[in-house]
Amino acid sequence: MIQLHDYPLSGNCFKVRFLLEQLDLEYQSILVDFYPGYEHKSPRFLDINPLGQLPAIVEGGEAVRDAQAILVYLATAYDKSGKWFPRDRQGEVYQWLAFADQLTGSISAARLHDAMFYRLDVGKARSDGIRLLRIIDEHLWFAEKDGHEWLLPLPHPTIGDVACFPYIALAEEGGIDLAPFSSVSRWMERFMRLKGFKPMPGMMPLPMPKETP
Amino acid sequence: MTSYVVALEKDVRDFSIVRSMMGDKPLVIWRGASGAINVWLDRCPHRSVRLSAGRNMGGYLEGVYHGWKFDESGKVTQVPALQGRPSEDITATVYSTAVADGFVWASEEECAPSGSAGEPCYPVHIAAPVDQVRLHVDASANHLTPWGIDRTMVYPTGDPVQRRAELSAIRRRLEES
Repeated sequence: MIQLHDYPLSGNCFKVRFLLEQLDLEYQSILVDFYPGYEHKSPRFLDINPLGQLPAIVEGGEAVRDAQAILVYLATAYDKSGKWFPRDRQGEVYQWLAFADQLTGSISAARLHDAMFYRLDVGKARSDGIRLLRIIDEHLWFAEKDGHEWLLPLPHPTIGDVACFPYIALAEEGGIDLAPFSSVSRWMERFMRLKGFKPMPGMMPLPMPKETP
Repeated sequence: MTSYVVALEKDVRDFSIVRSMMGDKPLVIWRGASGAINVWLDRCPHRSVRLSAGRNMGGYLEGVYHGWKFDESGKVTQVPALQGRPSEDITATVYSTAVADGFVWASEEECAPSGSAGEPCYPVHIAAPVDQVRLHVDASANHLTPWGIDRTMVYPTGDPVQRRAELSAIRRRLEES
């Protein structure tokens, strides 16, 4: 069984949990006390991921680290439909996976500063995050105009959407107001209405009422 | 007396919440079960948390913090901490609203949309960074564009390539500011 080294308040762990559940995979969640225990820097965890970052998965004795890499690994190994990581659109998907990594470096950093008292330049983290939000908002605005609902012009989300979603949805915990980004807000709402979506703390504390068909 | 375009009607969907601005006032916009669109100040009268963080349950809006339920007139019809009793002397701040030309309009006084929204003569304030009020309508695309510069009314042309270039230029200017 897949073991996920997991932390409930981590957006990067959220995206892995989300895909595992979408793919109907059984997994064991091994909780790592990220804050205040800093267990991800402990020798036990550094054996699994020498970078000391969550999440990491272990399957059959092999570890895979990095949230985006895990999404690629799971979709490639287990998604028979090919929807989550479409073969003919890998370049576009990787573009959004890399974008998600930049969200981790900005919005997630601002959230670590505000919620877990990390020492870092929070002004820069927020302004970097807002710059990224403007870019993705513009992208989604044009996508909506062309009749598309997701980051790729496909009738379903991909791991690109999964990778970008959590830290955008958690932006207000890092002091970044999402009100100016109306296309992003609509995209988030679509994501939260996906079947099987389970919010994590700070995301949407209550289940969303279902839209009438 | 000024009426403001605060959203596109088609963006205000059932069981959904839209955030916007009227001048410097944050707005929560929601469509109720009656089909009417409600535009309120985005502040809970209880503890000032934004109402847009709550849920649109159709017949009522539910605050995220203490679960107060507001009916479409803005009245508090249920307070969980009062064993579900109403508190009808308390209301949300409700603005006068109208729908015209596919836009949702609101006003602090009597809302009176007039003329065509396609003409650049109405202030269009749409969810904006506080320091950068948006004044944009992309009439041809039937969308409020999400990027704006204070006091600039931009009507991108019908050519999609050129429109994209114009809007990207606006974004770059915003980034530099």
